[in-house]
Amino acid sequence: MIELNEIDKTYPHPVHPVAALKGITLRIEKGSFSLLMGPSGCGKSTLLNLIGGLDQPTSGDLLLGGRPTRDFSDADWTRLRQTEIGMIFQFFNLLPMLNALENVALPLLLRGDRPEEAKARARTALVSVGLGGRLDHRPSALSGGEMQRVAIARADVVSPQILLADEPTGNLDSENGEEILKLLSSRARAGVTLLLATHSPQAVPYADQVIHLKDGRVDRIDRIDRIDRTGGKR
Amino acid sequence: MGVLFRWISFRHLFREPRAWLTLIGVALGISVFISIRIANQSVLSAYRHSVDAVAGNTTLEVAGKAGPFDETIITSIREAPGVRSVAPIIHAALPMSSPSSTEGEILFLMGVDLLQEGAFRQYEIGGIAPEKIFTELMEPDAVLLTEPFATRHQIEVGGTISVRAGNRNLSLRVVGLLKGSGLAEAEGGNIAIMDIASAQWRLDKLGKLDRIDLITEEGTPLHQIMKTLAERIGPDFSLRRPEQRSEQVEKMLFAFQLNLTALSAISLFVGIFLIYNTLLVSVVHRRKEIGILRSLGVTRLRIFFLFLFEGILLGTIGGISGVIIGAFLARGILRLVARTVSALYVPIPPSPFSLPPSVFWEGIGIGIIVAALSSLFPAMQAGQLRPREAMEGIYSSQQAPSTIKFLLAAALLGVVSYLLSQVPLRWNLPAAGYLAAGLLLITFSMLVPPALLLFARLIEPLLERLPPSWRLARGHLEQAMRRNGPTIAAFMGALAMMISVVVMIESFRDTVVLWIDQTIKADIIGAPASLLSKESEETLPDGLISEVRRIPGVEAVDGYRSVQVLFREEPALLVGRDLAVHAAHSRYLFRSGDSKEIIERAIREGTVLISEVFANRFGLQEGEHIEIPSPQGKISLEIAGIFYEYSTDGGKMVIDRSLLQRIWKDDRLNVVAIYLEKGSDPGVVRQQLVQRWGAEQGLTFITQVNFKNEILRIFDQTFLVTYALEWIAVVVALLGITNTLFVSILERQREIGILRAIGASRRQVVEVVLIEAFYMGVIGNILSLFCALFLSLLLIFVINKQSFGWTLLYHYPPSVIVHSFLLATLTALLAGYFPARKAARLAVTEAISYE
Ligand SMILES: Nc1ncnc2c1ncn2[C@@H]1O[C@H](COP(=O)(O)OP(=O)(O)OP(=O)(O)O)[C@@H](O)[C@H]1O
Ligand SMILES: [Mg+2]
Repeated sequence: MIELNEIDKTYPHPVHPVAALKGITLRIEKGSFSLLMGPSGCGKSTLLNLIGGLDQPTSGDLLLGGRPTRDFSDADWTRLRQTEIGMIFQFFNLLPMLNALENVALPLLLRGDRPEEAKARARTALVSVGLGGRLDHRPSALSGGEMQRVAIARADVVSPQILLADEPTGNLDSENGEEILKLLSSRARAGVTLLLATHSPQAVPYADQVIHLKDGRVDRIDRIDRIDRTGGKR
Repeated sequence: MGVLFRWISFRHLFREPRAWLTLIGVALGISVFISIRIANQSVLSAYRHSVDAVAGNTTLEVAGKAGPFDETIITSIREAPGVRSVAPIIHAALPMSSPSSTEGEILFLMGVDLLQEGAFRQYEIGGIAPEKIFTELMEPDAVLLTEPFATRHQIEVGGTISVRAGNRNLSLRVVGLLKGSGLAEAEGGNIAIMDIASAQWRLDKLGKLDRIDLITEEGTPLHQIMKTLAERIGPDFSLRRPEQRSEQVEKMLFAFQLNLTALSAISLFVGIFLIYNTLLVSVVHRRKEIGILRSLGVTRLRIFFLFLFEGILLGTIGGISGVIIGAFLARGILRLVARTVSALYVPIPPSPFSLPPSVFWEGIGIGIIVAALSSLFPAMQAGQLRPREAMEGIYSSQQAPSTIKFLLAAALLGVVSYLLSQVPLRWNLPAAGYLAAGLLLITFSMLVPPALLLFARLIEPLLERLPPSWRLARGHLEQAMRRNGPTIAAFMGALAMMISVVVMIESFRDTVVLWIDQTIKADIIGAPASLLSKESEETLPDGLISEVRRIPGVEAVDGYRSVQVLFREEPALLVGRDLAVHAAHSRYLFRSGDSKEIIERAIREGTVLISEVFANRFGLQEGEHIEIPSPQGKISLEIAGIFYEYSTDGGKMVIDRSLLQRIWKDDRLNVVAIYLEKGSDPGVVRQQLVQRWGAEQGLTFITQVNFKNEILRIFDQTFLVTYALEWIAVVVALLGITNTLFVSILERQREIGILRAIGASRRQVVEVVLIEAFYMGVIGNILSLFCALFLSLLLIFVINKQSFGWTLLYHYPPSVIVHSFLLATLTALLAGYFPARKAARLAVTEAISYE
């Protein structure tokens, strides 16, 4: 469960400080699939980065699984990302000099798992995203959709409780986008709390709720009926 | 162009730390080069200035080829056509003993005929009434000192100073002070003027002269006068212009100074790589920008010039700062160089530090040329980028450069380098050798990319068990080959040069140690305290040798006398020593043949032994006959053997002392080598010697061990400059690596961001950067060890041999490998430190959105 209380985020600037988030208060249930939507610049990425601990709020409280994060150190956040939070980005963000398997195994190795174990888990994760046959390909030899699937496998391989995805379909055509959305929603069904920032309405049918942001505030929240969802596109 | 330059180049150039690092590196490289030039020039100009000051209006000098000559020749010179004035001269270099502050200094005493001097030299005398000068100076032991010297040692008119002349103490009375420019500036002020009659008397040169200065008629051509004069004075005299003395010193110092210049060029060379690398990286880094500019309608040519100008701007600023730093650096270097030259070649008067304005332009010129050369290729690359290609993202893999091409180029260059090393010496300039060394460095630079790939491949399996940072760093290393390649090459070059020079010095030192051990067998060496000062003409007390022989425990004594002669118009040393004693107790290391046999033949047949350096200097071989000038006219002697000897004074000729005594009528000695009976204690004997001659006569007696140590101490001191230059080159190379790693961080902001986002800790990010630096250091180090192997062979057997004439034993000490590894690793890690810190502090969100 993710709780945000009166979160403000202001990017400092000597002349024009930018208030990217203003008084965000939200509760995101464990195992739910939430979409973050809104016009460009409304603060979607900023919000995801705060939850992932890549940046800290200017004020307000962020609670993860009931724990306040206010006093987390950089090392605490690192440990959290190694075990509980997976992140996916628009530009795939794979390391170009590593092959698919190595890219996926990396988070496990970084947290100190044994190499054989890490490789085995990475292989399983890649097979589960349908890339069992491309283990030793470098990112430059993969298509955009394939790269994003590798990125999902990499985020998923640590068995996180929270998955944060920032426009994961933004660089893909609708068909590939659909594939990615299916993969992600399957993670949500497996109990992972999924938060996805997107511009594309394509994702709506998969989600439990849509959080609309506007000018750094929560504009409204649309809850989508479970029946509606399962009755929708598959 | 103006807008592009103002908006783009300036912002890029001065916003990032790497531009500053490049600037510092280039400035350092240029400053070292410039400071060596300043030091070299200052040393020469100090010498020239001193020679000019002594020469005054003299247009020609007459000197005896075999040393002091009979003064009667002066009449026939005075009457020669074209000669206007004639001045007889006596000179001597005398070690000083009081006042105590002068201890260890040499005073150059010049005996002159006061009546003739007016036409020759400028005398501006203070501290004495003008009408009294003549009468006062005619008194025995009266001298004029220079004002700077008197001030330095707080000597006043009316006071006295003491010097050692021959084997006696000489007390001189100061009657006046030389002021202003002219003579007062000769020998850095360490000059004393005496009346010629007292000088002849006090220096045991009654009826003799050391030199005659002439002023010739201006109407007649000099060469014509020289021709008739030469016929008149005959073959036992040399005739030359005073400037020729400076020219001779210039020639003598040429190899030494060239060597220094070449060493200083190392830093410059590394600086070139630095600019090259900075711009190349800039091109890669700014591909997108170039693409956008091109799509906005900027032409290829303008892109080319944009980058060229950026390089030249860096070079110009680097040049200006280089001159400024160099001017400061030069003071220290000048002191070191002057000390080395004085210890090895000729005493250099305290050199006034001169900073000719031309140096300023030279520095900027070098900066611009270096920058233009090194930015040419990157600028061309920038111009050739196609807009579409340029705008591609990070996944467009840089095509790996072809390994085969690099290997082929290296093989070709290596062969050319080898061929060049076989070219014999031309015009006294080991140009081919230096060129071969340069090519060798380029050869190994070409080997960097293949070596990098091989290294990456070889270590891959080893990293399996190590933390992921090791593998990530390996990946980065390989991926950023285009950027890392030139950096490693520069680092490799600096290291290789450093190692090879160390190997050369070590080999040299080992050779000297071996030579000392095999040839210095005397238990005690006795000599005047000024023994180690080149020009000292001090001799030992008469009868010393027979008295020493009577001391209990002494088995044999070898008396050693050296005289200066002009051999083939060049100054050379002729040594007479007791060869029988030498053969019995010690030896020479001959190029070929048995020491005892050759020496015995030299005694029996009156032949001459010459040192290797002397043989190389004049192109002499065993069995040849050489003509040596002597007071009895030229004597022709056969060369019985050529022996190894590691001195820098141009080598020497050695004959049996009895021959020298007979022909030179000279019984004096400069040094005695004392051999003790088995079992007698050198300490005890030395004590007796010191008691008898130490305090009163100012002689020193050095035991074998101390003598050997003293030689090595001087040896080590000689190479201080060399080491200083080496260190600067390594610092410049360190800046290069830092620079590259900074760029690396910049370029990988996103990757670092991702790493952090997927769970890498700050520490791990730091590790990745440091390990990559470590890899670069290791590759550079391994290659440099191989490069140094060849480079040191070249240095020892080609460049050094051709420059100085020594045969050195080759010794590549294994400790060099360990030391260079430590140095390389430390340098690399140091270079990686700041970039790594920067990487760890990157704001992750910005890094990720960075595109
Ligand atoms: N590092 C930063 N410094 C200053 N302002 C920033 C920074 N990052 C984001 N902003 C500003 O904060 C606001 C929110 O940005 P954010 O990236 O969160 O928007 P977004 O909703 O993700 O937009 P998009 O849909 O275009 O990705 C924007 O006005 C943006 O300009
Ligand atoms: Mg965004």
